[in-house]
Amino acid sequence: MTTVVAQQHTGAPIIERIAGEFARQFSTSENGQPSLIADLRLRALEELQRLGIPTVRHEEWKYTNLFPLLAKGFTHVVGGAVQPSALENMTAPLQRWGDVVAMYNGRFVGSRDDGQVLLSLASALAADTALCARIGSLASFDDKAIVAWNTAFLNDGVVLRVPANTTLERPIVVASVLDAREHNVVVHERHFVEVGSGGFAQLVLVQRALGDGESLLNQVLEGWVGESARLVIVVVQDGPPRSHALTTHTIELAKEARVEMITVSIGGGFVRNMPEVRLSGSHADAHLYGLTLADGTMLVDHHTAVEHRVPHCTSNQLYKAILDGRATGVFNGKICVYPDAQKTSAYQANRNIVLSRRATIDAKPQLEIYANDVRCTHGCTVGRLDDEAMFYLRSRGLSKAEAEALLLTAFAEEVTTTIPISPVRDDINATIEHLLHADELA
Amino acid sequence: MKRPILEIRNLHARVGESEILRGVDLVVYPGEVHAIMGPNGSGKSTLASVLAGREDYEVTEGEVLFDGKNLLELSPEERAREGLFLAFQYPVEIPGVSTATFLKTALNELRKHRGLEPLDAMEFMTIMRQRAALVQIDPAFFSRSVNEGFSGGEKKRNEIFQLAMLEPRLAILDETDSGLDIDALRIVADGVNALRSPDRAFVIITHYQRLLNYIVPDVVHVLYRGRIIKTGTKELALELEAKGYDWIKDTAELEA
Ligand SMILES: Nc1ncnc2c1ncn2[C@@H]1O[C@H](COP(=O)(O)OP(=O)(O)O)[C@@H](O)[C@H]1O
Ligand SMILES: [Mg+2]
Repeated sequence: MTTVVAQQHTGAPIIERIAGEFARQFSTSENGQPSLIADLRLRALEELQRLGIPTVRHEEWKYTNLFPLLAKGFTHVVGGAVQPSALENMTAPLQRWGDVVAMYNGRFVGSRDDGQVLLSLASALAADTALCARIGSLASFDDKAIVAWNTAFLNDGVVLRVPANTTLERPIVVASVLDAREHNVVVHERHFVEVGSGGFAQLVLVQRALGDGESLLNQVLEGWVGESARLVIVVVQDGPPRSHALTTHTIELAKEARVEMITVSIGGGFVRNMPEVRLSGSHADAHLYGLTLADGTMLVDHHTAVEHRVPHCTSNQLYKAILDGRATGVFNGKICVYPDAQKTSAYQANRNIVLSRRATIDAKPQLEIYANDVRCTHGCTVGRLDDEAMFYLRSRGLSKAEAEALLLTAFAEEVTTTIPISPVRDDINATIEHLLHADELA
Repeated sequence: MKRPILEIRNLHARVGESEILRGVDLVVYPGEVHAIMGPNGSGKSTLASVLAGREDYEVTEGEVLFDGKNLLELSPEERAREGLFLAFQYPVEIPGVSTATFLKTALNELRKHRGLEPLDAMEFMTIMRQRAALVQIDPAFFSRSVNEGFSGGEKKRNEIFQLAMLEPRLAILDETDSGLDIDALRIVADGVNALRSPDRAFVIITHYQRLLNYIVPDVVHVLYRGRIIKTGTKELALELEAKGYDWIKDTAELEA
C-alpha cells in the first residue's frame, strides 16, 4: 500500500510512461534533427525524471492538483493525417481575427511558411543552428516540470520573426487543433517570437478540440521584444470542458519595449497559465491582463511572474475572475524587483466575484523586492455583486438575472477592453455576454 | 371618482430592531402632486425605499395598494414594470455599464410588460435625445457609465431623465433638490412639470420648501418620527419654512 501512495506522490508511473514514449519517438532515429536539439530533449527528460510531476506540496502547485488531470491518461501525439477540410472548418471563422496558422497535433500545417517572417520551428531548426542554441534560453526547464516535459518532446511550433522597424499589419492567429477523435491526447507546442527593434506584432493563440476525447495542450512560447518594439499576445481559452491547457509564455523586453498579454479563460476544463515577463532594458513596459469566467468544475490558474531586472521599468497586472458552480480560480502573482532595479513601478490587482458557495478562489501575491526606490502596489478582492447597484438596476425594471448579467459583463469588460485587436475583442465580448445571459435562462 | 394610484394604510417598517415607520397613512390619486416634508431622520427615505422594494426593510404591519394591487408582495422589478419609479436620494454609480445600455434594457423590459415590441436602436436613440433635452442632458452622457464621475447635480438630473424615459404612473422623488444650485433646481423642476399629466402622480420628498416654489404641490404632508403628523395645502410648506421644524415637533409632542 505505502508504495502505491508514494508512487502517486511522485507521479512515477506517469513519468515512466512519458520516458517510454520518449524512447519510442526519439531514440531510434534522430534522422536529420540537429544534435543540439536531441541533446536538449534528453536533458529535459532527465530534469523531468529528477523533478517528477509536481504535487500540491510544491509551493508553486499548492492550489492546483495536476494528478486528477493526468489520471485521465493522455497519449502523446505529433501531427498525423487530417483532412484539410476538417482543419478549414475549425480555422475559417478565425480569419476575421488575422492570418491563421494551424497547428495540428503540434505540427505546423499549411503553406504559411514563407521561410522569412513566419515559418515552422521544425524547418527553422533544421536550417539555423543559432536558433537551436537559443531555444530554451528564456523558457528554462530547470525546476520546471511542465517546461521540461514540453522540451523533452520539442518538435514543432511557429517561428515569428519581425524585422526591425516593421509592423505586421494583420495579427497572426495560431490555432492549435488537438485531435482527440481516437483517444485522449497530449500535445506539446514550442513557439519562438522575435520582434526586431521598432517592430510591432500581434499574436492570437487559440485552442480547438476535435473529437470527443480529452485533449491537453502543453504550450511554451519564448519571445524577445527588441528596443522600442511592441508585442501583443492574446490567449483565447474558450474550449469545451474536455479541452485542457498548460501554457508557459516567457517574454523578454529590451529597452523601451512593450508587451501586452491578455489571457481570456472562458472555457476549458483544466487551465494553468504561467506568463513570465523579464524587463531587461530600461523603460520597458509590461501589461498582463487576465479574465476568468468559470463554471462547472473548471479550474483556471493564472500564475504570473514579472521580473524587474533593470531600473525605470513599469509593469501592470490585472486579473479578474467570475466563478460559479464548483469552479476553482487561482491567482498567484509574482513580482520580483532586482537590487539594481530602482525607480520600478509595479502594479498588481486581482478582483474576483464568487457567485456560488461551492466555487473557490485562491489568491496569493508574491512580492520579492530587493531594491528600495520602487513603487509597488498589489490588491486582491473577493466579493459578490454590489447590492446597491443590483437594487438600482432592479428598481428600473431589470430582472435580477438581467441586472446580474449587466454588472458581470461590465466587470469582465474591464479586461477585454484591453484587447487591442477589435474583431477579437468584439467576438470575445459577444461570447461573454452570451455566456452570462445563458445563465439568466437557467 | 378615480381610483387612487397609491394607498398606504397603517404602514410599519423596521430595520433590525428599530421601528422606523410607525403607522403611515397616505392616499394619492392620479394627477396629484404630494409633498412629504420632515426633519432629517424622520423616515422619508425609508418610506421611499419600502415602496420601491428595498429588501433591508421589514414591513411589520399595514398594507400598500398600488393601482389596487398589493405592492408589498411584488419584487422591485415588478413594481417598476407596474409603473412605480423612485428617483434616488443617492443615485448609485455603476462603472462599466453605459447609460444607453442600461436604459435600453430597462425600457424594453417595461415595454415587454406592457405587451409592446422592443424598440430598435434608432427609435431608442430618438427617444433618448428627446427626453435628455428635457433636463438638458448632453447626449455625450449616453455612452458614459451610469452616474460614474457625475457631479451631484448631474446625478439628480440623470434621475429625472430616467423618469422621463420610463414614464411611470407614480414617481417618488427623494430629495432630488438637495445639493442643487438654483439653475439646476429650475432645470429639474421644469422637467418634472413637463412630465405632469392627469394619469401620473408624484410624491416629492424634500427637506426644504424651495423646490415647491417651482413644483407646486396639491397636498403637503409632514412626516415626523415615522408618522404623518400633519397634512395641508401648499401653504403648510411655507408655514414650515417660516416657523421651522421645531414648531411641528412641539405640536407632535403635544399630541403625543
Ligand atoms: N438601512 C438602515 N440601517 C439602519 N438604520 C437605518 C437604515 N435606514 C434608515 N435608518 C434609520 O432610520 C431613520 C430614518 O432614516 P431615513 O428614512 O433615511 O430618514 P430621512 O430620509 O427622513 O432623513 C434614521 O434614524 C436612520 O438612521
Ligand atoms: Mg432621506
